[in-house]
Amino acid sequence: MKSIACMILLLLPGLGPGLGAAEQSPVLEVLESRCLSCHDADTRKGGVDLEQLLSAPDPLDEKIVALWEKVDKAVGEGEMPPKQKKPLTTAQKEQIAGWFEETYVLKDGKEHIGESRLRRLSRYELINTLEELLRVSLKQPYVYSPEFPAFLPSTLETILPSDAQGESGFYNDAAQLAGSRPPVLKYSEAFDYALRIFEQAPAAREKVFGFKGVSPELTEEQAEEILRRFLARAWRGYKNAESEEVVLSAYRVRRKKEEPVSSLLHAMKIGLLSPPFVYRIETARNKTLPYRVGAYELASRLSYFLWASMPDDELFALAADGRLLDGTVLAGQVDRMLKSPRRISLSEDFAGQWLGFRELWTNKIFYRNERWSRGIYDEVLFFFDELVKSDRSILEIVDSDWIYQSDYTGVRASGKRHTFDAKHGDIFASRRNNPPGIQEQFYKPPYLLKIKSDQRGGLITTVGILRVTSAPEKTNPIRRGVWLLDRIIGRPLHAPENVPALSKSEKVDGKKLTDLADILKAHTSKAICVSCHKHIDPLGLGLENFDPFGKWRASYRNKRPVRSSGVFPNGDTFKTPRQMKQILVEEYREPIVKNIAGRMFAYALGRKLEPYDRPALRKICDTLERDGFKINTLITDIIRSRQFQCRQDQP
Amino acid sequence: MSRESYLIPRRSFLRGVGAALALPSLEIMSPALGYGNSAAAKNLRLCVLFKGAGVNPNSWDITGATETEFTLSKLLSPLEKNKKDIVILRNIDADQRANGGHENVTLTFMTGNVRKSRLVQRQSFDQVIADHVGAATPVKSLQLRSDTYLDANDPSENFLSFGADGRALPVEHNPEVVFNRLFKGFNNSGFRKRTASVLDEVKESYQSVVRKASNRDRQVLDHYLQSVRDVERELDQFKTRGNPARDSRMKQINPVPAAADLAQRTRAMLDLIALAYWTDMTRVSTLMMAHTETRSTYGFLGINDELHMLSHFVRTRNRSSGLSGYDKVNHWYVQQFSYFIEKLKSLDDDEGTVFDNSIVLFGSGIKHGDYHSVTDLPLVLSGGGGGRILPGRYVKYPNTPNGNLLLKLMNMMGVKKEKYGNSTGILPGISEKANLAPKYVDDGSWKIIQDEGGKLLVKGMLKISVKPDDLNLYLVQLSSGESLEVRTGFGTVHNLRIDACVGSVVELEGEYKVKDGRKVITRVKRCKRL
Repeated sequence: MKSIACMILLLLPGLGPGLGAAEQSPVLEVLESRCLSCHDADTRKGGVDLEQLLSAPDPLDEKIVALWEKVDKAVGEGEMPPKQKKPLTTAQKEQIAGWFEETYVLKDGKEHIGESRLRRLSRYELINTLEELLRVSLKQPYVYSPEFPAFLPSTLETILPSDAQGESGFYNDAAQLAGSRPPVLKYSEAFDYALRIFEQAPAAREKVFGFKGVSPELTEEQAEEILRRFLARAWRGYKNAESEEVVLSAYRVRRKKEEPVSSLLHAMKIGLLSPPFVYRIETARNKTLPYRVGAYELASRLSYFLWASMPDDELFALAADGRLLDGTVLAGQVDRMLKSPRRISLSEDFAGQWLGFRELWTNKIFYRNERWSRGIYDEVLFFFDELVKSDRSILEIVDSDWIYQSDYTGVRASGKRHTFDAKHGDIFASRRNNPPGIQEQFYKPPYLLKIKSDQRGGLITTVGILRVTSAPEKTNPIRRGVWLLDRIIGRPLHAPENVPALSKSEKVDGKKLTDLADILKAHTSKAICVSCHKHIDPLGLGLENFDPFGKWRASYRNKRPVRSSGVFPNGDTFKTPRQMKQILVEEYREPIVKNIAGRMFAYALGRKLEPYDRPALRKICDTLERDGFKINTLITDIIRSRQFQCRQDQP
Repeated sequence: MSRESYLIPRRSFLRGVGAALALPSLEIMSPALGYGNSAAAKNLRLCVLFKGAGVNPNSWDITGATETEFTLSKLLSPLEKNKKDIVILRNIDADQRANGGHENVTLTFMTGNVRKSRLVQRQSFDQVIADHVGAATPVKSLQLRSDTYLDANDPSENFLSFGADGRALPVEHNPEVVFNRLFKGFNNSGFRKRTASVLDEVKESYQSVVRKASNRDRQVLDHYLQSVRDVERELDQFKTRGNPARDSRMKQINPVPAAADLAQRTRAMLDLIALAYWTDMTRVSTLMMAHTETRSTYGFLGINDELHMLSHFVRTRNRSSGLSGYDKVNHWYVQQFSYFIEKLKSLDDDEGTVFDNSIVLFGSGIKHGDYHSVTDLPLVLSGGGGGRILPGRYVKYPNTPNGNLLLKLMNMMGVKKEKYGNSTGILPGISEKANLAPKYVDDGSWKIIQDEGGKLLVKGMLKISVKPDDLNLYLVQLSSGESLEVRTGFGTVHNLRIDACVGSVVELEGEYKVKDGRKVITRVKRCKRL
């Protein structure tokens, strides 16, 4: 295999000292002597086969990299070798960590950011972009009205197919979007619809055309000026004279048969169906190491991260003269953008997918009634937005002394309505504009409550989250536990395929398994269960006081008392949800912070994080800690990273 | 937006003979249609109905039957009136590497092989067929799902069909959208013309963008061009090419209200496939009726547990609707299959009914809902296959890779291929009687071979027993007529792939205890299929 041979040659400088063709590297010796007795191709304990790592390292082979990441993590966190075996020496550990860093994190001994990928707009981004570009409203209005049930998708959502989440966990994943066929016909249909709405909105037309009502006397020069201005925005600074000419000539051809306005709309549609609208094309300079992107490109990266939409006029103006590349100007823009209601995309798109509460809308299982379902969805949405709005600590996702409360019958938290000194404005103001002729009813946004009781606090005790982590009619502590582990602590687990069920007749400590906590206790006494359930169960059990609809309960329907108590793997015990959350914040702070930062970083970059992103992520987490875990520090630091501001053209 | 959505034909056209009377002109017109003249061009249609999440083997399997004389099992009982329309297939196996998990059981169902990459697959067999017959119809193939559940963690489980480039094909879940695609939109010649001219201009703009793009960007942008070409192809196909039969049938399609739940959506999709076949809009379709890890519930059957939870019936025994709920859901799915058969039979084709010229495969990618064994998949074939299917039979094959079945279906659809996926040959016994001798004959050697100090080695036929209160019991049937019980843990059955050996003669080594004077195997060391 020629390619593999080349790869080895390329990598040799990175292999560290002492590795010749015939010589065995020290790190492989550690693997062979300490790991392979359980993890060879035959035994594959825990399904892990490390023999594959003995051959040449290949930073492009995703499976091998993932396996090395696993080794690096297990050794780094002291999980391997298992307790009953002799631990690795410090030197051996450093060898593994060092080798990993040299081979997979760095490139020729330098930090890098991997190859930049072409990004196609996700459905969510596309709809937002059309709204901004055409200056029209295309989403379901956020009012309470029989004409607009909240859970009805907007017309564009019914036309455009939904995306699939990529390995990053988000719809905006470049690799996932690149791998699937762009639905050109649906685009065409969607643009037809959007342009029709635009045509019927005189104010929007005036803004985009720059003319009050385009008259039949529109000259060709005037029309071209309109179209050039439109394309500059639609293509977000991408310049291509030939493509532009295609659009202009589309106008000219159509104008021979039709009115100026319909000809303009036709040309605009061609502009929208051209790749620079659907894709975020950046200029490549064919460099192997990172270099800064241009001002327009940075403007797009910013706006799609913070608004999931195209840049607005101010960003375009700053991009046009390059001022946006200035650090102070950039910081000022970030601040401005976070003040804008358009930041709602961070809650809707980023948090909605990361925490999974978008499912309250998309999965009918969770639907109860219009008022309740929207109420609990808004509570989570506003909770997350409150973090950004008032620049609060990301740890308040786990525990906080405030929550958002909607007006619906059922769940009530005690406390008084409260107003913090909000830095930024009302998130939904724009979308609450009543469409003409529609009578708004009932809808009130949720309000902030300062809470005194121990029951609630933190986004994880919002009704919405407790609902999506339950089975249809009962709680499922395992599902809640797995959710907390995966989404909050950042330790994804997969459902076991070969683990037996606990039989009902089984006894633990001489006692029959009667209630849930007993069954879960068995999880910590049977060796096969312990390795995973010692992490899962305490988390799930700690939320047992919340019923499947998020209501606080002290006893089950059969009158047995609810026990929200448990033991963490390190021996810490708790008796109430609040105590559990305190342990989480104190003992699991590091992985929680790393997880949240990593998720947002992946969302900002539109790809899953790779080993070479580690130095940047480390830096981000360090700054976060120094700054009290403030979420806007996290956002700012992500924007400051080279990953965010640079391109690289070779992996 | 209009809330009345997809359409179904007026009642008169749903009645086989009635339709012929109502449309005398159709038969007269048929010679003029000119669909070629070879036997393979009989406008055969293929439909795959995939229902994930396996079955309870005890309720599915037929026992003590011959090829032509068999009694339907509990789960197959909805097909009683269709007994002469179906071929029940036994011992068709998926790639054994898929055994035991979720990851590959959907992929292998229509590709026949487990592949290293999760994203790029072999072109699925329906698409091979679509490449062959799709040019004759406006829509090359339909990929549908009536289950709204999607797995975000492993997107590859959401797809059955993969194109020639190995990428999953988009799947439509909204009946309204399917309806519009089939019976509105491109059927309007003005719309077709406008779209075609827009695409010409878009291609021009595309070319100038690509000229300036980096090599890596070009690879991604190429998908865009491919997609434009797909639309152009479809535009071409939609030009009615003087097909009055289609036009006449199109006019008979009426609107009905939108689908509100899974039951209605499933019906709607089945109706739409039938109508698409009737109007010859497409000849290839797949419908995912249940995702293999679905979180869907079945409120309309009184079942509020998630099907995936129910399917893990050994381990989730305390679910409220339990094993009976699982059976009920699967029973309902077989009813839908039967409904579809009846529907196809009610629609007139140029010769006979649409049913006569269809091939319908119903089944799941796994057998046992909890163990995810991929041997002896639950599969039923139906349709006349243009005379290429000999129905009314129950065929018990020796264990055969599912590639052989897929290859046979491809052959019937006119694709000449010798090998596909895990195939070892073309499955016999579909177009003609199989006349297979039973693979296993009790030669008197099924007995305990060694028995020492509580340990034994036994040879016999492995069977499974699943009862509501006894979910995990296996039996080794001996020549003497008696059976040894195997009562071992979930982990053992799973790790040793014991469930995958059900229906075979095995050699089983283990330890036993004596209970009520009978030996009960409580630990298994080895289980080998002979």
